[in-house]
Amino acid sequence: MIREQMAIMKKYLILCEGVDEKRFLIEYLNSQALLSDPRLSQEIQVMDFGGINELSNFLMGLRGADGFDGVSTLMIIRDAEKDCNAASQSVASSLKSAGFIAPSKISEWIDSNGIRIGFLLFPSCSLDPCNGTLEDLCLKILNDDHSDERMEDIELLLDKCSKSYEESFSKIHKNKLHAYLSTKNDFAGMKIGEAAKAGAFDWNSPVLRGLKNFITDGF
Amino acid sequence: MYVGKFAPVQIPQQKGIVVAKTGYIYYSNVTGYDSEKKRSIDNRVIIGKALEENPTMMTPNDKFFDIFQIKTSEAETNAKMSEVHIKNFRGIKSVNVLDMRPIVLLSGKNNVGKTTMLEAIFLLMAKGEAAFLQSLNYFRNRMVFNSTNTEVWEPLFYGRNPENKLEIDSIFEGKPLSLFLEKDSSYIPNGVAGMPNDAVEQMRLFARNSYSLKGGFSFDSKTSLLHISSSPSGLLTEKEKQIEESISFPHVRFVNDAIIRSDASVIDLFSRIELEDKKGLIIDILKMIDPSIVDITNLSLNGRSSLYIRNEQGLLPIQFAGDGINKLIYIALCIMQTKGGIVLVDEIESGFHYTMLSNLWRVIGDLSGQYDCQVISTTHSIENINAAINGLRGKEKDFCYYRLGKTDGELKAHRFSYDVLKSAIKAELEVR
Repeated sequence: MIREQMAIMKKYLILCEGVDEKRFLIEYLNSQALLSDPRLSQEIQVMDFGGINELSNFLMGLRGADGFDGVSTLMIIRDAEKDCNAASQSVASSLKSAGFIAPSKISEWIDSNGIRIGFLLFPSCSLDPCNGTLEDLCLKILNDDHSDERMEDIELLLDKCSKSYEESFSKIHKNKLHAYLSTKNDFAGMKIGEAAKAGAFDWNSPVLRGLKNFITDGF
Repeated sequence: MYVGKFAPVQIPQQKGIVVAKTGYIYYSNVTGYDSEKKRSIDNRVIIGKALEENPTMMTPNDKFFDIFQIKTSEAETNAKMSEVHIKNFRGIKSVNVLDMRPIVLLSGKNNVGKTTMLEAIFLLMAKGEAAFLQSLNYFRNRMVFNSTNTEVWEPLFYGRNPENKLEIDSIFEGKPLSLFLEKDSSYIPNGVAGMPNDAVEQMRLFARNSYSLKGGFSFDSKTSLLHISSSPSGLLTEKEKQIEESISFPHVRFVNDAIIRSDASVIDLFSRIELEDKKGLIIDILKMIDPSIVDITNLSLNGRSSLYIRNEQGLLPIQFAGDGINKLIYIALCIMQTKGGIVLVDEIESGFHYTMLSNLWRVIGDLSGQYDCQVISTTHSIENINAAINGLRGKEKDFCYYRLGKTDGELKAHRFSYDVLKSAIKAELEVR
């Protein structure tokens, strides 16, 4: 099905992996926590590049898309998954194959023919990457005074289920987060992006400081 | 502009590839270890040069093919025209289109130069002859009856100024093919055999008071110089005949809605196909749009020939069959009768229901390959772009897409391979 095409409207683009990451980032950039710097909500466009295997072709397409000539900053965020080093190399490789210069490491800005380019990995959003995904980050920034207690209960439940039904959870971070959301009336049945909009996450969390600083440095 | 022996290719993404600041691309191959010097033995060779216009692409040299074990014929594009460079033509000051494929789709905003690019290719393939300057006006539905230079050819020059030398350079069948036209104030035409003296005198007088054009058409290493003069009684092309006759060249055809509606040559095109006993192919193509069509035939009534289609209701003049049917037949016949040449289709999607567009591209994909005919078309429609992606599955390498866009007044042709275009459309990027 053909949908409306996405024009490049801003000079600063954040490219992320999937609809949930896109919605999460948009909610973060528009949050009260970042009100002190209006550039973050007004001068950045977040785009979904699809799956990680599509990043290279997406970047090549982006280069030729209407409005790309005006882009000054390109930031890429993806999940570290099970190997943050491989994830980092994969982003660098995609950038190079699309004709950009790639930063030599995470959280570094580099100039590629007049465009500032940098990339980060979820969940750490810092110079010291760790394995994991956006869901791991979300679990660290839950907007809930009793999140620790709830998570203890959820871990017990998952552990019991795993033992009872002899099922090892291959995406335990997703199990944990969605089990948590399902225990809250306000967020039951929601995906990350929807939960972000509904207020599930604490945008003032110090865990997000690295993300904010890196985005700000990109201007 | 660096025009290499081979068509551009993607820069390989593998270990050992180094792009130097100069643009040259090296391949560094470790062949052993020097125990005395305690270092690897590195066999470093130049394999080509990166394209300034697109840093992901390179012009390869012979070493490239040796090292990567790619047969030259596979790496070279099999498009008839693989690149074109246009200068000072209509609204285009300069544009370079590289790595074209047998099926090319051009897009871009209104007035950016899509149709102009088709016209430039037409004029080049038509060797710049005066009659085809008139054709360009006809394509634009602008009939010029009194052929003064201001009306016929000045609109061809950038800024309507013939002081701006018009240049169209390309690579056709792997060989350089070029045309230039420019103002020549000093040339007085001699006329051609059979031309009445008073017409020659009128043309000479007109040239003295105004000016002529001089030009050159070259293919491979052969060049033909020409002069074009005008007067209210017509246009005249004078060529160096001996050279001209040695340059044989395949056809080019220009298709737009106005031509389809008015061109009676569709009957001739169809008759030739019928003589070649290939009517069945046309019927199969028509069935893609309307499965009820069982035949197409040429009937002559009262001395006038017309094409009719036969469906379950009987015979129907083809003009009543709808724009889509008419256009599909015309495009298919043009491709089938332009073997080894180029068919240029302006606004290819117009007249078709969007659900039929994938079938249109299937037809183009099949016929383009069968008849060795390059099809270069323009579009505004995202549905059409999506249809091209769907209709050309299995022929991915034969297709490429360009978005024409202006940056700081400079026109650029942003190239998308099939895969990149598919990703861009999936990601909903605006690529028109």
